[in-house]
Amino acid sequence: MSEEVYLEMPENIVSTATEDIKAELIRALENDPPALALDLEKTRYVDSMGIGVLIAAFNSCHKKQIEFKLLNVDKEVYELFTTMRLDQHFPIQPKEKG
Amino acid sequence: MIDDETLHMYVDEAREHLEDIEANLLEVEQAGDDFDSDQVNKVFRAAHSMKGGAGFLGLTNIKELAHKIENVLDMVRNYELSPTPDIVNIVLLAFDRLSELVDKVTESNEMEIDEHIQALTAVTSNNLPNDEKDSVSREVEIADKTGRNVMTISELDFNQARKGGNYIYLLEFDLIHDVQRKDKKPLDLIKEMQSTGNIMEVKVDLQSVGSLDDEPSNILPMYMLFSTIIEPDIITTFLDMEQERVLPIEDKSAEKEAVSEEKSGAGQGQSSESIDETIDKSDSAPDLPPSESNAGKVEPESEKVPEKKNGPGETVSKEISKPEKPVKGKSKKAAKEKAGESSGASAVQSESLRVQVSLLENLMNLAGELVLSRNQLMQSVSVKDNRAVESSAQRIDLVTSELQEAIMLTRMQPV
Repeated sequence: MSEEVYLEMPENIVSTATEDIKAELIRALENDPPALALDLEKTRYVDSMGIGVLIAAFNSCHKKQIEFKLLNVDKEVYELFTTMRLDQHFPIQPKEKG
Repeated sequence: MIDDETLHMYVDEAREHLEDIEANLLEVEQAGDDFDSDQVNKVFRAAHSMKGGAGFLGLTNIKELAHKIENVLDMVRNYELSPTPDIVNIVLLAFDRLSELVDKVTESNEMEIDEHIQALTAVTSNNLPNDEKDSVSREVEIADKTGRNVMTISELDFNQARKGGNYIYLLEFDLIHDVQRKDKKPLDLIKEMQSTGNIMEVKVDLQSVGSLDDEPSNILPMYMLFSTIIEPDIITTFLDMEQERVLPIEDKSAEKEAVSEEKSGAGQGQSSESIDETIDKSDSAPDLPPSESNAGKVEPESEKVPEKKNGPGETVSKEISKPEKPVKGKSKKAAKEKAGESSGASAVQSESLRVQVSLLENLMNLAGELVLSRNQLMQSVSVKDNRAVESSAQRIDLVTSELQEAIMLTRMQPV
């Protein structure tokens, strides 16, 4: 049961979607996986509430010592996250150039 | 969204800037200590313009590399550094790399620049006057209004940011209130900030957000250390933020030098010191009314060249208040040169400044251009023409950079 959990994030991580995303994240962490990886391949836009939910997810993971990371982050979203220095708290992988 | 056309324009302009650099730098190298400071200035301005445009377009690698090059050239033109063949070579190589980044602009953020950054940083830190050398590794603590330490940055970055006549502010955003509720996007906010100044450091308060089990947080605090030429009396309007969320950060490095010798035993241990002065500090006057008669508050900062010899004939004695930007502190260089002089004495040096008419004319032209670009911008905004908005904004960005330069030049006097 100890496998890394991998979740795909939607195109818009925004206030209207945060409830659902939050629920999904809680479910994902239910069984205390060793790590949680969020794939932001499809994500083009993250608003303030969205950032809040991602940080909350990180905090939850951090509390339970679960590794947290973001993958395939689109250029603009990556820029937002790095300017906010979020990459100093958890790994954020930008999208590979095709 | 930055469109291709804006990017294209940037690349074209950058290429123009890059064209003459090699020739200029080689001449500077050959001249050795007798180099022509105008030539160094030209190259400096090229790097500076490229840095500004890159910031607006989110070209972070180009911006960073141009910034480091700028730091080295700044030291050369201030006679803090001699343009030896080694140093010129490092700068030339860095410009070559910059050229490559510009050629592949869309990939530039993923391209390697570490080697050049390190070489350029080494040049600046090896050539800082001894007491500044440590400023590379020493850190400055930035505290909020309550005195609580919010973040630390390297002293060198802090001082360099101030040198350009910039003000440094600690901004407290609440991403939920300031952004979400005002219908703004976080990335837009970041870009806005980047286009009007330099984001030196950011700290998001992760704890206050809580975890998934908690109710969704209704605050998301983010501190940003921001340097810009925008003055304290208009910054809050400009950023559309409340006064209490914007804290100007004073520079106490000059005082620090005098004080730290006294305090060396007094338990201060590390060299970092909390810097959280407010505007009310006696040696500055940011509230000065924009009238020219207020020359009494002018502090022509002598960090560039200590002696102010007047040029022949054309120089005009003019009392300049607003454009002078009373900088609130002295750089370490000024402090060192006036060996041990306390900051109190160096705070108000003289009440007027002689500046060449040509410089003033340049300033006036730039101000005129800025007004034109602003009008263009206002118009494009009102007809909601995004492309026009972007191109006006880029124009404003470039003109502002030039304006900043020209202002700095008014304080540089021939030795």
